[in-house]
Amino acid sequence: MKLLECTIENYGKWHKTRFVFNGSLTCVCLQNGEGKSTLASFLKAMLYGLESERDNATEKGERSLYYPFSGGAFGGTLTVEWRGERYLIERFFDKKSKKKDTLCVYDGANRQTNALGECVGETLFGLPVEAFERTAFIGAEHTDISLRYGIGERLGRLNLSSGTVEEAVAALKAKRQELRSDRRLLGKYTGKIPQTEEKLVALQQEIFAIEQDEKRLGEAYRTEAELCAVERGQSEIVRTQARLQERNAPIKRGGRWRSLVWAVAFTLLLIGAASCFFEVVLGVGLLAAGALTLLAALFFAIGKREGNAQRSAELARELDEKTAENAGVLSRYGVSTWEEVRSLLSDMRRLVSELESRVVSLPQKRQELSETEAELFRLKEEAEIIDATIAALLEAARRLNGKYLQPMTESFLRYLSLLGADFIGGVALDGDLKVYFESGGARRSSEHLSDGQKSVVELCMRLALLENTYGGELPFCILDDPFLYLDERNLAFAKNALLVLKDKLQIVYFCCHESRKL
Amino acid sequence: MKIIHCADLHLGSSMQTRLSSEKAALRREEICRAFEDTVAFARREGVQAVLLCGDIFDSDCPLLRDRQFFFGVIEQAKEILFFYLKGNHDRALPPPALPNLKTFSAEWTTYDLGEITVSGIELCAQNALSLYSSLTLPSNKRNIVMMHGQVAEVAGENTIAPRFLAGKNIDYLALGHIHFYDEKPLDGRGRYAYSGCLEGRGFDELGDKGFVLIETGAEIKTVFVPRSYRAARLVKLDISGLKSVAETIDRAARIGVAQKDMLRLVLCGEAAFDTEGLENIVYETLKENWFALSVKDETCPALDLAKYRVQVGVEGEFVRLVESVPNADESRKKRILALGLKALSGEKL
Repeated sequence: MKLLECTIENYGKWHKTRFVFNGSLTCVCLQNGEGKSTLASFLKAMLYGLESERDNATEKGERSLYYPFSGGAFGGTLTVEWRGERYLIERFFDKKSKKKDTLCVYDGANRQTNALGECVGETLFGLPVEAFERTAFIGAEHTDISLRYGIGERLGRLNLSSGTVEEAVAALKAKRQELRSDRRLLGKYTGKIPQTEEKLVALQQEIFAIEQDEKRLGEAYRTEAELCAVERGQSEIVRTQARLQERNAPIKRGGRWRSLVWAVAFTLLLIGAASCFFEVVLGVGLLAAGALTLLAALFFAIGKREGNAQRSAELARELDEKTAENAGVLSRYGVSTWEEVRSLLSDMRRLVSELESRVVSLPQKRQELSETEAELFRLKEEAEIIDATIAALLEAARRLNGKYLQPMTESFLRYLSLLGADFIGGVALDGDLKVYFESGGARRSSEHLSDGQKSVVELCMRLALLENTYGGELPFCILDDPFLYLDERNLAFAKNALLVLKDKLQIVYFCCHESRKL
Repeated sequence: MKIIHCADLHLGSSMQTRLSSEKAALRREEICRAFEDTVAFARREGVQAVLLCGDIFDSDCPLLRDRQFFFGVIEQAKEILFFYLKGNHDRALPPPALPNLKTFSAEWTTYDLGEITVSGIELCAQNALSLYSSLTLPSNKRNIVMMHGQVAEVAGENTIAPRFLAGKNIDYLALGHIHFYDEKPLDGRGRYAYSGCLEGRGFDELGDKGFVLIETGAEIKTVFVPRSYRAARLVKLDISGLKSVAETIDRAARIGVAQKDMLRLVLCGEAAFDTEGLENIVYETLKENWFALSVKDETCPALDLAKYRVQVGVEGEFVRLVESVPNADESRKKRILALGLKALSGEKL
């Protein structure tokens, strides 16, 4: 991507001003306060827009800072070359809100186009504005802090890695802690998962207890049924006894008829016997009738007695069996009187009622158990997703760092060489991209470098970063008086380096003193 | 001869749904009424026998009131023969001795009804393997067999292997245990069927419930008779393209399921809004629209991953890393991506 020219309608102190960028190296020498930073801000604003002003902000944003005092259209145009095509970016900004800003992009044929998307800078460079600011803008930073940055911090400051990952992982771990703490408190883990597990155990225990009640209820039902059967059995016994007595009674009740028959039989025999003396035939006939009657009576009496005896024996047997059965049941329960039986039955009924009231809740408890198990599963799944997300984020950060480490080391060393690294001597990078140098056979930290040396080293680091964070075309680079702290000799090296550097990327070089002019 | 085949009443069970205690009590009552209605149907239609293929009660120790209800209905329907085979949930207490109640045991019991026989056996560990060889049925009669268990390739204490019952002169194998109607051929002569339950008790018992009406004649004819008071329905609602919780609720409220029924609503698709708490919000707002409502959130966040894929930074690296994991569940990947990007953006988790 190449800057071709820009026209500032109104932006800060710039008013209807046109800048043409000379190929690969444009030198802008302005005194302090003459608008170098304003120009840099304008270029960034053309590419990335401006943030809206917040009413309660403690510091003014760029929108407020560069809004023209005289009013008028706030913005301008920027012409760039990208992928062999020429584009004119026209932006005007509202005083307060970016929602009211306007953006139009025209292609080389002056037709409006959407080729650069809504966020021009991201389309051109594939980077967010923070990363752009921290790569394309290189000032005279030479602080110890900068040099002590490892790759993680450097990429993090570009919003590329580490910083955001660390915060994200911390937030996820906090979320994870809500589910299950890493450490025990008073011997127990805290969190939703342990709480749910405890609830599950409590429910299981409760259900187990109710299931025992259920078994007892079954026993109680059987006992109640048996005792009721005993009661019914006792009633049956009483009825059987009555029937038995009735069986014996008919012999007495029917005695009158039997006596009559006997009397008739004997009368017939007597009359027959007596008649034999007067009328033999009549007498014999009467005797025969009397004998037959006697025989019939005898036969009937014997038969009925046998029948009665048989039935009585059956009834007696039934009675014995029932009595024995009842006795067996009663002895099993340790009761002997009917009062005790009734009392036991009453106790059983109370127990049944009590157990039923507990057992009736069993289905709901099982349902609650099932729901709790499902909830536990969901929570564990959520925890597992969090763990997987943390692992993926850390791995992404590690890969990102790894992606940059080797190429940045190579770029850094190349730029060091380009800028005359010999004068620094022994400067190298560790595995985390932190700068050190060797002296007296030992590794020394960058704190021991002079300010000038630090400037050069940091500049090389920034250039290496610039070269490696833009996946496609390199952007332009604004160097805002980066050689402020260099002495004459080192400045000469640096200037030469820039002249070589311009072949790689477009440089807009600001300085505020003729001595540092290219 | 008309015969009803039913099973799995599970009298006394809880409803496997989130119901208020009043509704749960009403549902238990309806399950009892379902059996009463079945018997009333039988009396009206001149059904002569009812096959009860197990799990009539939900517990080995059913409450007395449930036993009294069930056996009371049987006792009153004196003109109908009830064949009661116990399942795996109603074993402990023996049934009362009623003149029209025929029971079974761990050995084959056959009742001869003239042209028809009804046989049954209650599965247990001791007979699970031997029962197949000990069944002998006359070839010149219509033979109905009752069992309770899961149909499987392998025979076991709770499984029934129909292939071992092929060629045994079975015309109809009446089964219990599975709570939906299903019928399949047994062999060249007969078939086996699950009648399903009379009323669904939860959202895993979807669809119509009822009993099988069997008519014996030259051949056995069967028809499934759906008779449930309420059905459990499953509806998947895709919320892709909806913009808010309110829109989701509005769409869900217009689902065409009868108010008397029980609805399981599964929210799916890609959500373009924050779905935290969506399940509960939808449930609380709509729970009175149906007899019972269960809401499951199976949505995944709508992510515009295209812009991240080309990014240089950590978001891009993260997205590319997660997407490159082979053989991983897509839904799980989306959850990780959504959570990771949300965390990286600094949004509250």
